[in-house]
Amino acid sequence: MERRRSVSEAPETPRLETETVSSDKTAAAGRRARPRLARDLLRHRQGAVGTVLFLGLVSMAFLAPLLSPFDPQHVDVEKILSPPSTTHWLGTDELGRDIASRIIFGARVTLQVVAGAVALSLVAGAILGFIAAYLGRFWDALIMRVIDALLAIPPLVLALAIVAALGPNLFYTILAIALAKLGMFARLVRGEVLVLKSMEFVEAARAAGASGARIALKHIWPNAAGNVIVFSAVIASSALLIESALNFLGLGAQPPTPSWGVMIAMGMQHWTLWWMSIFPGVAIFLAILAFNLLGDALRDIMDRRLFDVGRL
Amino acid sequence: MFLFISKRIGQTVPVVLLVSFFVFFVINVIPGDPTLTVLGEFATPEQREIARQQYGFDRPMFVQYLDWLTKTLSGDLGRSLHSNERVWAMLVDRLPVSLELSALALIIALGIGIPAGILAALRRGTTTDAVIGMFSAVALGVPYFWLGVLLILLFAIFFNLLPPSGYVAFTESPVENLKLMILPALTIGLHVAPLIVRQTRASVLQVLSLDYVRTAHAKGLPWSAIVRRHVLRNALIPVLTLVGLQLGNMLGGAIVTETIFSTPGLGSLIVAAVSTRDFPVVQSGIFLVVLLVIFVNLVTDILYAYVDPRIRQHLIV
Repeated sequence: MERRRSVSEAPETPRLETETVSSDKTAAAGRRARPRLARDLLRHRQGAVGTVLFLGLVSMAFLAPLLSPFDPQHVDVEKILSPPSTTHWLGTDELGRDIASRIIFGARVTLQVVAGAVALSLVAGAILGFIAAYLGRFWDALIMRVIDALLAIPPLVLALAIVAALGPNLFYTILAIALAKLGMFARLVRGEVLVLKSMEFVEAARAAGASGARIALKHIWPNAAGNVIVFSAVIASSALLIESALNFLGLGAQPPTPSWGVMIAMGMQHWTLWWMSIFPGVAIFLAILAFNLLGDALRDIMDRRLFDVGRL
Repeated sequence: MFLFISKRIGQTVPVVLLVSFFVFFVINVIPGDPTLTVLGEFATPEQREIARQQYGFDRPMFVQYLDWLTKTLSGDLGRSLHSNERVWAMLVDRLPVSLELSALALIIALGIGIPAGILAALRRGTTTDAVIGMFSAVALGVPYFWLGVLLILLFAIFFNLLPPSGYVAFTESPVENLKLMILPALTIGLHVAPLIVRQTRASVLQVLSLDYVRTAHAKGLPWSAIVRRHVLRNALIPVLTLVGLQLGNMLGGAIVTETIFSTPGLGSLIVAAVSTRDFPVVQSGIFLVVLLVIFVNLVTDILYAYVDPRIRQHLIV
């Protein structure tokens, strides 16, 4: 929790009022929260840029064969290390492979790892956080101390330790990042559950005879989920950074799999050929920016909604 | 204060033990035969059996852990599987380099982060604020290893101002040392600076909105005095905590940065050891880095309590 950047400012009031009116309208139209969230995101300047970048990243990953001008593995001996041109927009690498195509296919590896790591750490962290908050006392103390210890290890160092033990492999990269990040989710979920568990509607559900599992899943989780999802955008951006750093060190995806980190590392062996290291870096930069902007925007929107509810 | 410090140290001990257990456990759950690393693929079963007994791999994991822990705590870290050097000597050799790098990076991060954050807060809503905000949002997205590559391209390859990589000890030639350290330090410093900008801006804004600032203003103190004496003193406390937390991150960042600039610090040692699967070095190197992080956080907390008596009370009660 303490790592969440605290840049909360009071939202501008005039814009807020118009939004409250229109969200009343949407509510009257009987729509649910999701289209409203999408609309809020697109209205938020950072959110819109983040959404566009994120959709770009996702479509690069899914439509890679359609979008890339060349086969990313195609070796062209005559075109080795050629600078950007009209045929090869971003130049070619040491085997004459098209860099633009490799960047587009590289989005697949990156997204796989980021999505896998975030999902795994979210589920594991949420379960641990739930157990800690729900059972309290001994279990709470035990789980949280273990998580304190886990979070004391810098994420990249932890990932290095795991890769050192298990060897470089895509799945181990996911596992390593998930392990490094699950503590953050556990802390967040524990905090949310501790607050929610003492609320009246939970007490009411318990009085009505709902089982522990039902209360957890139907009453507490839906109320905690919002913040957890916002937080996963923040985690995704740091997962991406660790992923590309591991690849850069040659401890993640192995050649010939196209991966941004590996491409930058290859570029370092040809210093004067700037295009080899610049363009994959731009790709990583834009992807991280996408998650950062989305995270900031989502948090703004959530804060504003809480503010709305508070005003009603 | 003494009570606070001893309580805080008391809290740290179980964390250190747990971390040591993690580090040992993670490295030792290697699937497969640990003698493969020591003897290679072509050893006979008898040789493996001897090696297993010699290294103690045949004992239960927990016994091995206790053995490792007592040895580590008494300073016996074993020898590198690769070069047969003493691990302790290797670490002691590398540590000062990493510490110098982190210190320089911290100076850069604070030197940029705090003034920029204060400026953005004092000029809130102006173009200055927006430009600083935009820069920090962009800088936050730049992966530090790529920043390192860009800095080398810019300063070493295009302008030929600084050497791209290498290391000279400070005692040998301070100027050469700084010339070689400035780019890696900039790489890490620029990565941490935006976080400090954001935290400084947010906490200065928060303090500016407090009543006592208005009172100081009302009694006619000039702005500069209010900011210097009343606002900054309180606003910089949360920044201190952030710096403590970020030092761990900086040591993590140093791992990659040292590899790029071939700086012979702890980070590049660990990376090289991971690639050659030199477990004693990886284990002790990582444990040392984590101990440093825990130690820095402990010191930050104590400083924090020293600056702000309320924290002290909170933990003791």
